Amino acid sequence: MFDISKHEGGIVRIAGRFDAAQVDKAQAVLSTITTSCVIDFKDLEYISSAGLGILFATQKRLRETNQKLTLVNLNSHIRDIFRIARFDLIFEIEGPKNG
Amino acid sequence: MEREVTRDLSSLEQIAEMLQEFAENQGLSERDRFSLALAVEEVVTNIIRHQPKNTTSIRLRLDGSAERVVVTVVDPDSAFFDPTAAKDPKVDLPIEERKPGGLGIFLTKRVMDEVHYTFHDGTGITTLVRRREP
Repeated sequence: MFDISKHEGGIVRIAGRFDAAQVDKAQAVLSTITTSCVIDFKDLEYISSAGLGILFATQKRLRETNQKLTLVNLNSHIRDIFRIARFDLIFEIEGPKNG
Repeated sequence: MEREVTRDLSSLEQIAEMLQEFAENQGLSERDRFSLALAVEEVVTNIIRHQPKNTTSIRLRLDGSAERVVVTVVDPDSAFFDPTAAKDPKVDLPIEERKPGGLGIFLTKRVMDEVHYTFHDGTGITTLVRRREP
C-alpha cells in the first residue's frame, strides 16, 4: 500500500511502500509541484530505486526555476539508502530527532 | 520457501508479503528485512524491464540459517544479463552532472554481502546473500 497526498503549506506526505509499481501514482502528484516544498517521509516504510529516480527527476526539474524539495522524517533504513546513493548531495535531508 | 510470480510489477506486492512471512519465520532484524526487500525488488524489476515480452513466471527461493539469508531468483526464459557486471553510477557528481538510473543494482550490491549471476540454456539465476545482523 502506497499513498501520496498534497497538503497546505507546501507539504507532500508519502506513506507505505514506495516500490516500482507505484511510479505512476507518485508521478501524478509530483509532476504538479512547481514551487519548493517539503516531502514528509514520516509514514513511509520503504523505498526502492524507482522512488529515488522520481524524486531525483523532480528535484532536477525544480532546480531549473531555483525551487527545491526538502525531505523530512526519513526512517533510519531509508536514510541509509539515501546516503549510499549520495542523495545527501542532491537533497536537504532532515531525519527524525530520535532516528 | 519457494514461490512463482508473474513477470509483472504487480507481483511486487506478493513478493513483499512473501518476504515478510519469511522474515517473521526467521526472526530477521528490521535492517535485514529492508535490505532483502530492496535487493529482491531491484533484481525482479530488472528482469521484468529487460525481458518484458516473455510470459514465463519468475521463481523465488528463500533460504535462511542463523548466520545468513540467501535469495535465489530464477528467470527460466532469459537472455544473458549479468547485473553484477553493471558499472556503478557516478554518485558523487553534483546534481547538474548526475544522470538518472543505474541505482538499482548499485544499491543491491551495497546492501547484500554477495551477488552472484549464472546463465545456462536460457535460464538466468541471480543469488543474493546477506549475513544476518547479530
